[in-house]
Amino acid sequence: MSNLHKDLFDDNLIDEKQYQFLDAINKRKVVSLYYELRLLLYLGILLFTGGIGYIVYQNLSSVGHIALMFLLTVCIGIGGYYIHLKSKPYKSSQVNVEHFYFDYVVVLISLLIISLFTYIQVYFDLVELLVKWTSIVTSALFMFIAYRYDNKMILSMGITAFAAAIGLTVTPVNWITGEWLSGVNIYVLSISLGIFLLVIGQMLNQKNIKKHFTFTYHNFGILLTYFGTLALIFDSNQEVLFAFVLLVFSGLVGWYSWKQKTFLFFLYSCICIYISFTYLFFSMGVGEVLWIWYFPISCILAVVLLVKHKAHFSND
Amino acid sequence: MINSITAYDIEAVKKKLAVAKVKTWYKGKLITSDQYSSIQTAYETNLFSPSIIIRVLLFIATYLGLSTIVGPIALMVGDAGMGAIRVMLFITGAGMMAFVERILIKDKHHFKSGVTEAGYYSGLAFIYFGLLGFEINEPLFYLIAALILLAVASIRYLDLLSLISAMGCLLAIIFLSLESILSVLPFAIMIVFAVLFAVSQPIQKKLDYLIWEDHFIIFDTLSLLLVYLGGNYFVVRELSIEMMNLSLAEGQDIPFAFLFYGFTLIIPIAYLVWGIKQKSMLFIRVSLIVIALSVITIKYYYSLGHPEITVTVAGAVLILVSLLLIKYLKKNRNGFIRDQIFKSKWDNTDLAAFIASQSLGGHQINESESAITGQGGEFGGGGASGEF
Repeated sequence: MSNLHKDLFDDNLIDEKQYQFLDAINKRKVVSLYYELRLLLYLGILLFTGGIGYIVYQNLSSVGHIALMFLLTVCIGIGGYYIHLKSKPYKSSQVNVEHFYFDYVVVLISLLIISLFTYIQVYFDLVELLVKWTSIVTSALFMFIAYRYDNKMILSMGITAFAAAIGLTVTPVNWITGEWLSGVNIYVLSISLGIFLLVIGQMLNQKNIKKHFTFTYHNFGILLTYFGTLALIFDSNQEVLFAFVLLVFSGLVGWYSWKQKTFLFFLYSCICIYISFTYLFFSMGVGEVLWIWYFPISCILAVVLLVKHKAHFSND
Repeated sequence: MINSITAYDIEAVKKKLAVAKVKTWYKGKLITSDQYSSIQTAYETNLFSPSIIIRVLLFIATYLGLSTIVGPIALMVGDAGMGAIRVMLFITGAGMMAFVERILIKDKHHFKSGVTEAGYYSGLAFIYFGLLGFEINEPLFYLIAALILLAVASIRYLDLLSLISAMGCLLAIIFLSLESILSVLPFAIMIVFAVLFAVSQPIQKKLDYLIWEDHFIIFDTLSLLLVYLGGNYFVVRELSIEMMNLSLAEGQDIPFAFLFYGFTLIIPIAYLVWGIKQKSMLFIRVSLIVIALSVITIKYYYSLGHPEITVTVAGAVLILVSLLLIKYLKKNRNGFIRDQIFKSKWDNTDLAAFIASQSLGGHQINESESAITGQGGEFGGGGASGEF
């Protein structure tokens, strides 16, 4: 069994109290259910809000609609009161509420508010009237909650809702199965939103407003821009132009993220650089021999280049 | 000892893994940053082992590069026929393995750098097909060879993916070799993996915990899951219908149905009780998964017809149960606590937020269709709470 804590204690690298505690964990005298409880709670929220959404669309026998709406309102009221009680005032820096399930209650209540909102629409036949506004309202509400109660999950949901509002479905699942809404406009829209998110994220970061949200903005921004441009390469008439644009753009982002050591964005960029470069390379019309050697040589060159700079990223 | 089979400098690997473990203590605020940095200095190694994202990048690039070498090989010796291609495959594979072992691991001190994994995966695959060719009409033969190769790789390179694939091979071997006597198949699977689990217990007490911990977590989890799945009513019933061309009339049931119902109900509870008694997180986690699977199984055959209500109620129950447990575990109960001790290396709020935005919705509101199908598969999972 693990005697790491004993070794460390013998070498005077940890103190007696820490040793005792680690030993208790090792001997299973203390077992933490932290992640399991959170997962259960998360699954519960997923199913509960999903189920409510279901019920709204399934149109059960109309008895109980009012009761259900009332119940939802009561739940929202109780949750809202709890949030009000535990929350701390707004600050531009990160605000941590040291309470086990505060973040999850915020998510649950936000989703229930949306459910109730949708319910009312369906019940009073307002769907057609409000269809354009639903996502906007949802997004605005999510954004408000995300900033007020410092919640990244809600921020992500707010961004996806905003994308939905302008007609985009922001899910990798759809990207993978190729279920993009067709038409070049949608790609351009996606790129515009991506760049918009990148700029907004950067601006907020520089103004020191919720700096820990920057990653979320940039992640969605980069993904939307890259996927939009990639789709344009394969789906428009000006593929060479767009491949070139993508090469330049991903090259810039790649260079910047390498400097900043944000390696996830560097990974995205490398993939896009490679795809666009390969596309340009082959669109020049090369022979079979070159074609066959291109992949092994280019990839191995890339690996050698990366490993040569390992000092830049090996330290973590 | 088993450590001498590994390709790496085992003392250095131990230090590297020790630092990784201490990092979770540091993130869990068990030790101070001064202590953390002095441990880092004391356990410094020259191993090259980058973060997960760089590993993925290096892996993709290396793997793409090495596996496309088949193209030039085929071009060079393609005219000489299959035999020549096989010889070339074998030589290339052996060359790759030598490069990984001698240069990368020994000289450059790569340890799970992404380049090493891609190197030995493609090297082993080339050797495998170079030796066996593509024309043997006996799938069992290929499977047994793969099992041996993967098992060795999982030990020699401390590789977890090889371990998982090796267990998959073993399962396939059991399936294929019992093809003629299908009725014993469920019992055979249950017994084999139960025995493997039992055998692994004393072994893991003897081995170095730091190095082999992940191997045994995966091995034990998969074994326990397979013991359960071997006896699960849904699996047995559907596979019997599929493989034995069994056609069940209305009201008919598979042979020994009561036994499989029993397994489906008892095994999850047994896992959970044992987990709580032994304070074994492994058993508790596996039990949560199999409880969910059992509820789905029961719901599949005895549905009340209103999935939306099941989902909502299940969700509500889950929320309630977890909230009650969270309240209950505010104090240390029998050693169980709700608070975080170590910060898991997978704990990442950015990732959690992204997953939440993809699973919890917000964007689906306009699209009733996708909202319904999107959540449909999940209702059984929540039912778990009913018994929990």
